[in-house]
Amino acid sequence: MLDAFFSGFLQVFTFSTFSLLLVGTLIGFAVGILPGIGGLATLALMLPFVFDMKAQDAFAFLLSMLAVTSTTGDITSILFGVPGESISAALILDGHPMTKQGEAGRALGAALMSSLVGAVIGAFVLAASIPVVAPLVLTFKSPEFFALALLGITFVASLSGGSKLKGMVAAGVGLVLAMVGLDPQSGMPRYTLGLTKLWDGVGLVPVTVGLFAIPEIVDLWVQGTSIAAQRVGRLGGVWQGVKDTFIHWGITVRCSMIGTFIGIIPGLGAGVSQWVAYAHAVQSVSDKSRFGAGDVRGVLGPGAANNSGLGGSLVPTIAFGVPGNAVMALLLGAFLIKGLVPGPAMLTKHLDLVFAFVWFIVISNIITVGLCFLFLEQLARITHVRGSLLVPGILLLVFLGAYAESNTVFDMGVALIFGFIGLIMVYTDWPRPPLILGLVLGALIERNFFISYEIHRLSFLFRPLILAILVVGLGVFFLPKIQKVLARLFGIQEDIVVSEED
Amino acid sequence: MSPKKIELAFSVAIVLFLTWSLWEARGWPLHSKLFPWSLGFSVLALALIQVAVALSGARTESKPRVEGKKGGSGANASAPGERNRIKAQMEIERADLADLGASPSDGPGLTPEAIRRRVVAICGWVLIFFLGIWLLGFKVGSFFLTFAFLKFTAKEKWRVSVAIAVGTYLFFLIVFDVALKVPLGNGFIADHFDLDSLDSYLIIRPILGFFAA
Repeated sequence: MLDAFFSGFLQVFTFSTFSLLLVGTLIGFAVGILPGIGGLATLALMLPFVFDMKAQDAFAFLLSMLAVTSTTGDITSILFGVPGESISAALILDGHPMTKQGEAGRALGAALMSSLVGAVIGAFVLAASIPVVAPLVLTFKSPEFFALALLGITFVASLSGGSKLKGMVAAGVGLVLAMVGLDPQSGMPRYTLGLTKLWDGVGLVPVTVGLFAIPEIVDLWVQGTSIAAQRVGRLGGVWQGVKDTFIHWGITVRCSMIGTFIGIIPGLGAGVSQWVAYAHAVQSVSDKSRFGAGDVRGVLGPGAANNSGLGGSLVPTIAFGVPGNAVMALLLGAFLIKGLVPGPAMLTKHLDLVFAFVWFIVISNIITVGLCFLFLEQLARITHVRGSLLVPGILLLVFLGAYAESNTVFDMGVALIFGFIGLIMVYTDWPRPPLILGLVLGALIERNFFISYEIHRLSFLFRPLILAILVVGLGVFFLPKIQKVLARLFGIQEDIVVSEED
Repeated sequence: MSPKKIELAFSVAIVLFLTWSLWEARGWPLHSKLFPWSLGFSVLALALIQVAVALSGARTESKPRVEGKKGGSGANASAPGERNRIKAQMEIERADLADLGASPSDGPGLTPEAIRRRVVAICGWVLIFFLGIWLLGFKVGSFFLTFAFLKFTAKEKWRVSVAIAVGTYLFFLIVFDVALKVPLGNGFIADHFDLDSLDSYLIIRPILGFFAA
């Protein structure tokens, strides 16, 4: 096994493999920054090019591209409040406020370094867990997936600040929106208003860019200043952001693990893990007052989680041939193109290739972070440009992102509508992340609910693992109240009861 | 309209949306309506509680924060109370508008009314950008919309407006047409009149003509 580990490392540095790794990294770099042009679409576009490549070259190209998109997608989330990837939306909550306070460098430094740490942890978890993951994944069946998805929603609704009620209602609305389209069970159109364009459902990217980015554009114009309302001297904050990653190493490592293990579970992915990681970052500290207003820990959590998921999601794909998400499904196509059969054969005959995958992810992220640090000063300078000069460009990026998902103007209209809804939500203090998470998880929850009901009827709710997960969910939701009651009962101060970070 | 009243209206809108979703599902087969109804009734209950909370918040806000002088009759006696109420309402609105990231102290002389006008203006531009891209496509639309916004709303200089407009056009042309070969569509007008693209008519020929002249 150790031989395969080092052999995989050496494979990275052959001329053709390393060249293609660099090309994939550069493509992923550009794609991640452009909203709407996501890793999935780019993977689909690049897949035909791998026919003539050797297997290790093909995966060096594809994996390096995928590994990098979530890192660079964080950049536009932080600088402009426009998520470069849907999996980078959670960074807007604290990253963009940091930019407005003139701490763009610190936010970018924290996001990039935590992404690198997350990618490394995810990759090595992939390497370490393949032999042991089989019983874990096979234990989880439809009832457990249903309960886990509900747990994810509870986590995020609980970070709704003062109003968990609004958070749960927003999540519920997101779940209802997820049901728009053709019913996966019977094929009948639901909530489509007679429009065939809604048969595929409401697009996640248009909703995300509309809900988050348009209110930021309104805010930028109304302020009448640059994105960064304050100047904080030169970009010294970048190294502070890097240091923050290691000062708050507990959050970084835990959120990396969250991203990795959520990535392992088929159906969930970075779209979910970023929010769960953010919720965990909020709940793991005593002083939550700055979250949502520019707390660097709100950048570290999702930054680490969204990049560690790739390693995790490769686990069921390689070990069982079960793709956990659409990106992995396309990557499975690459396996078949190169004549590789996912499953036990990958772990015996091609173990060195599997370890090479680990190194592709690690090294492409190191290169990307290095490149980003070279250009960070220039990137952060954009935040000091007059807001009026940036508004048209950001608006165009928003509509481009919405359009690019399925090349229809209809999706631009969806972004527009949700943009105004997002504006009202900001104005009336309704949280937006639970709505997005409801939209992301709705299909998964319904599918697993339906299968569980068909097999077990309602008795599936009483399976031990389900009860345990539901208890955890209730505990998370009511934790602050439980802590207050305990504090009053035992007559001790609340900040001692509340768990300390690190 | 105050945020509390808008919040109440938004909460009521959500209740109406959820009620409609439950009503719409009533005629579906069981398999199709099982989850929508299981979920919908629960969320509707929570949403109704939220409406009640929002209603009590709106009623609390509508009571004057600053009481005027009691007693007396007629307009004169109530005028100081009325002025105080208006002043208190302005303070509320000032604080509320600050939630949008605007502060009356940002920029010279920004009053709540000016802030409200800016919000309406930018919302209008968001709509105009949508319509412009739909009609003209990304390449041509980005050129004209960027120029129009910068010149007429942001009051930037001609050179800056034209340069940035040209830059956005070139960005779409080079990145999407040349490099990625990803079609972004030519817009409704070009499709309706069966034109290959509007670029040559609206941008390239005028520019060539300008330089030829």
